[in-house]
Amino acid sequence: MAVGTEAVTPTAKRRVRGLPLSLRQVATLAGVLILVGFLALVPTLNFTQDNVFFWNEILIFVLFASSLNLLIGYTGMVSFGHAAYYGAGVYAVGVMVSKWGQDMMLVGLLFGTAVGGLLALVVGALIVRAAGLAFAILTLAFGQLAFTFVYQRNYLGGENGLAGILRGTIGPLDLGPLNNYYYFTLVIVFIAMMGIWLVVNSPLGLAMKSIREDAGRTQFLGMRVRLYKLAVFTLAGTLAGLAGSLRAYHNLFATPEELGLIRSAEPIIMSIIGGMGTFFGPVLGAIGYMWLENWLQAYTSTWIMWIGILLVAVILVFPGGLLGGLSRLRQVLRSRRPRGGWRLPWQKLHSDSMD
Amino acid sequence: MTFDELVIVTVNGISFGFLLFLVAVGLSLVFGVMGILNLAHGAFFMLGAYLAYEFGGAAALSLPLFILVMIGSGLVTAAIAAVLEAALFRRIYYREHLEILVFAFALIFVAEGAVRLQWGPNPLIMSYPEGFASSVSIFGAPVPEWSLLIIVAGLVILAGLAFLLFRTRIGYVIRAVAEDSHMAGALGLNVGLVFTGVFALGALLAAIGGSLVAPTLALTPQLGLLFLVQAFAVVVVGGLDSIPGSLVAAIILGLANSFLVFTFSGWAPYSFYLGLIVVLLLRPQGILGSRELTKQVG
Amino acid sequence: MSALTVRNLNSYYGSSHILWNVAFDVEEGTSAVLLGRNGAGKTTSFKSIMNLGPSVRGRILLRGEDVTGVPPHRLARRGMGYVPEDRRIYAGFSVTENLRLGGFAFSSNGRPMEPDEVFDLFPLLKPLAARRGGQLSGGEQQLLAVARCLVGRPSVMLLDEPSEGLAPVIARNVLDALRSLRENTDFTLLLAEQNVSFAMNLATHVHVLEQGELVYSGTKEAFDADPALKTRYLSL
Ligand SMILES: Nc1ncnc2c1ncn2[C@@H]1O[C@H](COP(=O)(O)OP(=O)(O)OP(=O)(O)O)[C@@H](O)[C@H]1O
Ligand SMILES: [Mg+2]
Repeated sequence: MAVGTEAVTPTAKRRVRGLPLSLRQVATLAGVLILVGFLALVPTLNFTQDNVFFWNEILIFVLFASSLNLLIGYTGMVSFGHAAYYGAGVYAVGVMVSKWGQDMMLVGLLFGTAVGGLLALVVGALIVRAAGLAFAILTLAFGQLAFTFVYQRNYLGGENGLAGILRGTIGPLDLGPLNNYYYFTLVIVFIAMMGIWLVVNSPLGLAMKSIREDAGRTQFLGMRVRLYKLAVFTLAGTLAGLAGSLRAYHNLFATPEELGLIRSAEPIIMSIIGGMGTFFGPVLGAIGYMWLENWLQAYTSTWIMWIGILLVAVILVFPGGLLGGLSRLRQVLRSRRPRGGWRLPWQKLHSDSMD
Repeated sequence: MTFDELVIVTVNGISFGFLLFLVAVGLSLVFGVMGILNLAHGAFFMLGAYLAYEFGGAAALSLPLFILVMIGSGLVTAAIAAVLEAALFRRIYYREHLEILVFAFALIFVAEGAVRLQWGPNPLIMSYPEGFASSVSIFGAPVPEWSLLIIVAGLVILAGLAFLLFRTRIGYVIRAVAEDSHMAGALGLNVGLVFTGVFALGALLAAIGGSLVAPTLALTPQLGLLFLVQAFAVVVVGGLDSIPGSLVAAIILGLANSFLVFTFSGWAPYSFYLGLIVVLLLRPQGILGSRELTKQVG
Repeated sequence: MSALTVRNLNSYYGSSHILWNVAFDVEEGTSAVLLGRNGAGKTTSFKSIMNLGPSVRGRILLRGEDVTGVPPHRLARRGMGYVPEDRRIYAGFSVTENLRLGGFAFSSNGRPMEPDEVFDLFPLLKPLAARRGGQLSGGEQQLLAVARCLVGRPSVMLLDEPSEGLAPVIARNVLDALRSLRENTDFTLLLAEQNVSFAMNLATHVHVLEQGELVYSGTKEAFDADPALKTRYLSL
C-alpha cells in the first residue's frame, strides 16, 4: 500500500521557528483551513444552484471514499462491495420516508447510518476470517447480492428505485432549501472526518496499520485481529451508511445504482488517484474525480474513456496516487540510491520471487 | 417439470456453462501464469462481440463464414491485447494487486468509450447464422441449436487448449513459466514473450466467447461488465489456477442457474454470488485449485 | 581472456545497499570461488550478475562484451548458466523434462546435451529419470539442478552453494562432473561456498566477500599459503 504521508522524515520534524508545530503540520493545517473555507463559501460564491448541488455530492463522496480508505488504505482489507453499506443507507432513508412516512430527518439519518453499520457487522462477522484476495472477492459477492436484492424487490421499487424522499427540519433548522442542506452536510462530513482522523491516530489506528503491514504474521494472533478487523469493517460500513443517508436526502430518490459495481469502484478509484492510505488522499481524489467527471461530461459523450485513460496514466506514473507520488518524489530526491536499477517487468511477481 | 423441460433446461444450463467457461478460462490462464486477475478480460469479451458484428454485419451468415468471422475477431482482439500487455501491463505486474485490478478495470472504461466512439451508443443486433435460429429435437424435446453449437465450440476449444498446454513445446514453456517464471528466465526461456502470448491467448478466448454470444443479445457498450462478475465467480469457485476447475464450476453454475430460472426464478440471480460465498468460506482455494487466495491485495 | 568481469558492482534491495564496489575477473577455463560468511553477499552477487532481482549499478562483462542490464534469458542464451542456492527444481515436471528445460539456454556450440549424456555425467540421476521433481530428495534435487544447467552447455557457470546438505557420495558426483567438464572443455566456473574444503577441490582462484565488500582476491595457492585469512574472514 502507499507509503503514508505520515511517514516521519527528517524535514517533517523540522520545527517552524517560534511555533510548537512542524512545517508539515503547519502546511496541513493551512490546507485544511483553505479547503474548508472555500467549501463554506461555495453557496455565496455566486454559483448556481447546480453548483451547490454538485459540491454537496462531492462532500458526500469525500466521506464515502474516506470510509473505504479506513478499510483498504489503513487496514489492508480490500473491499469491492462497499457500495452495499452506502446503498443500505440510501434505501433505509428511502423506505423510512417514502414508505413509512417518517419525516423527522434526524431519525432518518440515524436509521440509515445504523442500517449501514448493522449490515457491515453481519457481513463482516461472516467474512473477516478470510484474508487477501478471498476477502476482497467475498465483499464483491455480498455487494452484488445486495444489489440484486434491491433490484429484484418490488417493495423497493425494483429497477426504478424509490422516489418521494423529502428533506424536513431538525429542531429549528429547516433543511429544505439546498443551501441549508449544503451547510448541514458540510458540518456533518467535517465532524465525521475529524472522527476518522482521531481513529487513525488512536491505538485502534495503530492496530489497523500493523494488521496491514504484516497481514500474514498477525494471523497468528487470531481472535484479536479478527475483532479489530470486524470493528474496522463495521465502522467503515457505518460511515458509508451515513454517507448514503446524506445522499438519499441529497438526491431525494434511491436507485439500485447506488449499490452497483460502479458505485463500489468509484471510492476505490478516488482513493487511488489521491493516494490510498493517506488521510487527505481520498479527499483530494474525490474532489478531483468528481470535478473531472463533471467537466468531461459537459464536453464529450465518451467521458468514461477519458476517465479510464486518466486512471491508467495515474497508476502507471504515480504508484501510490498523487500524494503517494509526492512523498516518493521527495524520497528519490533525497536518497543517493540509483533510480530504477535493472528491474524487469516480471520481477516481484510471485511471492516466491528471487529477490 | 416434464421430461421435455428437463432436457431443455439441462442443455441450456450446460450450454450457458460452456459459454461461461469460454469467458472465464482466459482469466484462469492468465492468473496461473502471471498471478494477476485481469479484469480487462471484460473489455476483450465486448470487443470480440463488436468485432464479430463489424466483420459479419447484421444479416445472417452461413456457418463457415460465421466461424471465420469469429476467428478474425479473436485474432484482432488478441493482437490488441498483445500490444496492451507489452506496452502497459508489464509495467505494473510488480505492483500491489489492487492497483493491477483497478488498472485493468480502467481499461474496461476505455473500451466502453472506444466502442461508443466507433459503433455508437445504440444497441446493435446480430443474426444467428443461417439455420441456427431454430431448434432441433433431442429425445423429442426441442433444444435451441445455438445452445448445442456453443457446447460443441466449448468442447473443441477445451480440447485445443489441452493439446496446446500438454502436448506441444509451447505448452511446455507456458507451464514452466507458470510454475517458476524467475528460474525459467535463468534457464533461457523468454518470459516476457510468454507473458505476452498468454495474455493474448486469454483475450482470444474471451473474444471468441463474445462472438458466440453476439447473436443472442443486443450489443451495448456496457457489455464489458455483463459477464465479468459471473466469469469471476466461475474461476474463483473452480480454483483460480485450475482450468479443469473452471470447467467444472462453469457447468455447475450454469446448470444451477438454468434450473433455478425454471423452478425458483426469484433465486436465479443470486446463484452465482451465493456459490462464490459458500466456496470461499468453506474452500478458499476453489474446487480444484491449489493456491489459497490469501495473498495480500492492497 | 577474461570470461566474466565484474566492475564496481553496487547492489540494492529496495533501499538497503548490499554490495559495495565489488570487482573481480574470472579467467576462461579457471574456477573461482566466492567465499564468505552467511549474509556476506554471495547470492546477491550472483543474482546481480544474472539480473534476477536487486537493482544494480556497475558493469558486468561476459567474455569482453558488456551485458549489464541484459535480461536473464538472453544472458542464459549467451552462455551464462546459473544454479540458485534453493535449486528451483520444477516440482510438477519429471527429471527428464527438467533436464530438457535446461536446453533452452543452449546457444551455439554444437547442440544441447541429451539426457543420456547427462546420465553419463551424473549416474545417480539415471534411475530417477521418470520421477517428478517434487519427489526427489534435497541432494537429488541439487544434482538435478547442476545437471539441468549443464544441459545448455554454459561457458560460464554460477553455482551457488552446491555442497549445502549433500551426502558425500552426491558431493563426489558433483565434483567429478565439474572436473571432467573443466578438463574436456573451456568451461569457466564461479562457485559460491562456505564449505572451504569442498571449494578447494575445484578452485583455482579465491575471492572473499565480507559484508558486501570484496576483501581478498588471489590464487588458490596464495590463499592456502596464508592460513590467517581463513580465521580472519571465514571462521564463525
Ligand atoms: N530479498 C532481500 N531483501 C532485502 N535484503 C536481502 C534480500 N536478500 C538478501 N538480503 C540481505 O542481503 C545480504 C546478503 O545476502 P546474501 O543472500 O547475498 O548472502 P549470502 O552470502 O548468499 O549468504 P548465505 O551464505 O547465507 O547464502 C544479507 O544481509 C541479507 O539479509
Ligand atoms: Mg547465499
